[in-house]
Amino acid sequence: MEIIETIGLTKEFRDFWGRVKARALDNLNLKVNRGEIFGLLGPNGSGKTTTIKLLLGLLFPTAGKIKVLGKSPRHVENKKYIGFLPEETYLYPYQTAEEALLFYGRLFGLKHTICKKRVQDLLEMVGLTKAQKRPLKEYSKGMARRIGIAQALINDPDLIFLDEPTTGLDPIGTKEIKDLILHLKNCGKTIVLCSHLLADVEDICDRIAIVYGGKIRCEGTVAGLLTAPQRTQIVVDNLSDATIQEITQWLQSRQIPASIEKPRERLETYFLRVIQEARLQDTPTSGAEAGKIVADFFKQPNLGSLSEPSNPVLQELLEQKLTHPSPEPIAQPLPTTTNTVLQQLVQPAIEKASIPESSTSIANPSQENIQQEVLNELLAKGKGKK
Amino acid sequence: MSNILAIAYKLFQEARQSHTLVFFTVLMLLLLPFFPINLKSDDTLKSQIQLAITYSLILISMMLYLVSIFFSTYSFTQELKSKQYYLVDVKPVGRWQFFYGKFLGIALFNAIMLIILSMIGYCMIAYLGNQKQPDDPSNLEEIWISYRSISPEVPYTRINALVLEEYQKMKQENRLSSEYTEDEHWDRIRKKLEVKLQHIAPSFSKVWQFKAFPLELRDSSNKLRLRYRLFSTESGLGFLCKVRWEIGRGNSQYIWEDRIKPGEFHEFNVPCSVINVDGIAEVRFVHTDPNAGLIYFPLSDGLEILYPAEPFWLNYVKALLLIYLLSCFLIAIGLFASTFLSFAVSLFFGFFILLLGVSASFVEEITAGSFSQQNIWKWLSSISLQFIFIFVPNFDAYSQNEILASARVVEWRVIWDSIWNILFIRGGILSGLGCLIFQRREIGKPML
Repeated sequence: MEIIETIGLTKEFRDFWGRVKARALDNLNLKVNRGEIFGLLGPNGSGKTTTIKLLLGLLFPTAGKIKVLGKSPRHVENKKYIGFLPEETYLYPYQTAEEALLFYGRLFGLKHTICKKRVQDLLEMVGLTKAQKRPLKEYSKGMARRIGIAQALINDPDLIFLDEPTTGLDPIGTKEIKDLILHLKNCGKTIVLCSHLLADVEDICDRIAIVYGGKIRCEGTVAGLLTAPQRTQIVVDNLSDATIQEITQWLQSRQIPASIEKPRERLETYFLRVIQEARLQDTPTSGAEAGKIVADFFKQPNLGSLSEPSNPVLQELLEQKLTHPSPEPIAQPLPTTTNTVLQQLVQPAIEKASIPESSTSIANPSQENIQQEVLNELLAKGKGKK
Repeated sequence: MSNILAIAYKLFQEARQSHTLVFFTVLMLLLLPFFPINLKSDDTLKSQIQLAITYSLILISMMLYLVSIFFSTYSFTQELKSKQYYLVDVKPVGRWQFFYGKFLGIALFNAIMLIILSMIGYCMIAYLGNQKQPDDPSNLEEIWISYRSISPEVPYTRINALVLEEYQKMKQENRLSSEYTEDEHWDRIRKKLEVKLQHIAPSFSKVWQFKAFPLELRDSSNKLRLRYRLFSTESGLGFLCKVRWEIGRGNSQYIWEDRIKPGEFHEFNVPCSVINVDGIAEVRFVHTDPNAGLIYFPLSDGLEILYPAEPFWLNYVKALLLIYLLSCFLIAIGLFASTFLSFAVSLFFGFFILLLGVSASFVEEITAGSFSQQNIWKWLSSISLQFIFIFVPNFDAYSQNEILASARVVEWRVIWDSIWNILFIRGGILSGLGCLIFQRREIGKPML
């Protein structure tokens, strides 16, 4: 069930005399399914932002068709179900954070009491409750970005466009936003993420498309595109030198080239831990504070609420979906992190951030049967230790 | 509607932070109370108050006109330029709602500004009204009352017939000079005839009838004011002409004699009892000064009777309302231009329209007659001007500053006319066009 569909989308920019100056998009075909996080990747000037602008009706296509939530992107009523965070946060500098969010809330026709409640929830979520009365012109780029994110969510949208959402944010803010995006996905929202920060995309996207020169160069699930089927990686708790020696010998006896090393913690994880410790000591800050993961009005995941979508367009699409069911899940629960060896072995590589520092990694280009043998051996050793 | 109101409300937040607007407002708050008080008049308090009324209204109107153009163009174009509109356009807000939200916001801001400034202006006039010195001959009671004017009936049908007759006669006798165009000939003949009809020789008298006075005036203790201006063929420097006026008939007749300076406006009070049962007042001028030669009363403003109609404050409010309606038209102009032009160009466009509107009377006067001229360029320029004036109202025709200062009533029909013609027709067409252009504009287009 596509929530966004473009067919042969082409965009040319012309000058005053009608001469073509740039062909930003060239016959772009794109489909985004409901409930997924879709990443649009590409270098600067590849056409990502143009695509987003076309999907939002800020630009008109030169050729091709666009359907967003089943209708034209310029359909005003449809915009009730859409949230958008632009590349830069274009806020009114003379407003305070509270005034800005109230203004955007009113544009959705929200009742004043509901709007006020949501504004407070969102301010708390982005950690700017204490700075809500300050004019936005005094905000740092990261703080303004947080308000930008809050305004994109004020209407509890079904479809969210995030253009470089983590630009200007510190690692904590980036982590919070990534967690938020995952939670929003868990609530049944569809998210189109536009970024050139590949690590962010890799961490959270279900599917990605790489755009270059106005064309999609490749498209698919993150796992499908990034998994190297000819290589195997095994991560275990710290092993003694003797055990490592034993494994090395075992691998060599089978003529399997391998490297065994201590994995390094990611700088992001390390940084987050340091700041977490500082926070526990109540160190004051004038900037944004730690926010809640998610505002209260998002807290009910839509996993079981498919029969009651807020959007009548979605309802319509859903009815079509129920007539022609798809094998893909609508939304998946958040992956949980545990420290058991078994869990880590079966988890995909994207869980690297939660691996304890005392673990050992073995990267090996081997066949699947060898992988199974090593696994069995390690499990046997684990049981022996206990 | 909530969208429009939200956008309108945001304008106030923007105005609060705009340094230019704050500067304008402070400047006005300083100029308004002090500038009119220091104006030089003819040393009577009444004329100083009249000057104060005129200049305070001019100040208020110019302030409002400039703010309307500046604020509408700035607010609209800056929001597009700095891409803040992206976040509005992706919300369920039609572009026409954004346009009218801006319009409403600036119009409300103007209304508040107008109320504040006009209250200061009114307080200043009231303050001046209490400053009368014992030796000042001014009748200040007249300041607080507005008068409706009745002019004598002009026999236009008869004049037109006479003009035609005279023109044909001159043509037959080949007396039409090639120096003038046909229209200019008609104009000259008409003016000569009007002078003939309105002139009075010594020892002669002339009677005018002023019709349609409200009958309830007859029994009131109010006074009528006869305002006149005459020209004398023999008037030299410092010459004072003897005049005698006989108003009404029989027992209620009122006679007024005076010596006045020709060419200037003069007035005197007349009891309302001179009005007869049909609501008509008969006015006779008796030429009693043989030294004055022929006396002539111009048809346009030579003679009128004013009767009390409304309190001054109501008239003041009506004049302000007209200023406000014109400022709304300028907001529509500013927003219309901003839908497709940059800030600088749309600001220039707005000021150009304001200049045209203010000088419309002058432009119409100097281009009169060129419509029928054979020169193609003059004809084209005349056509262009006529086209422009379909959209640009004549500000002079709607601005009632002079009327208010001369204590005459601002007629409701002028207000209805301005609501209809300026706000609905011209403003409506411009804002409709603006919305149409804005609807088709690609907001997210990068600068190439």
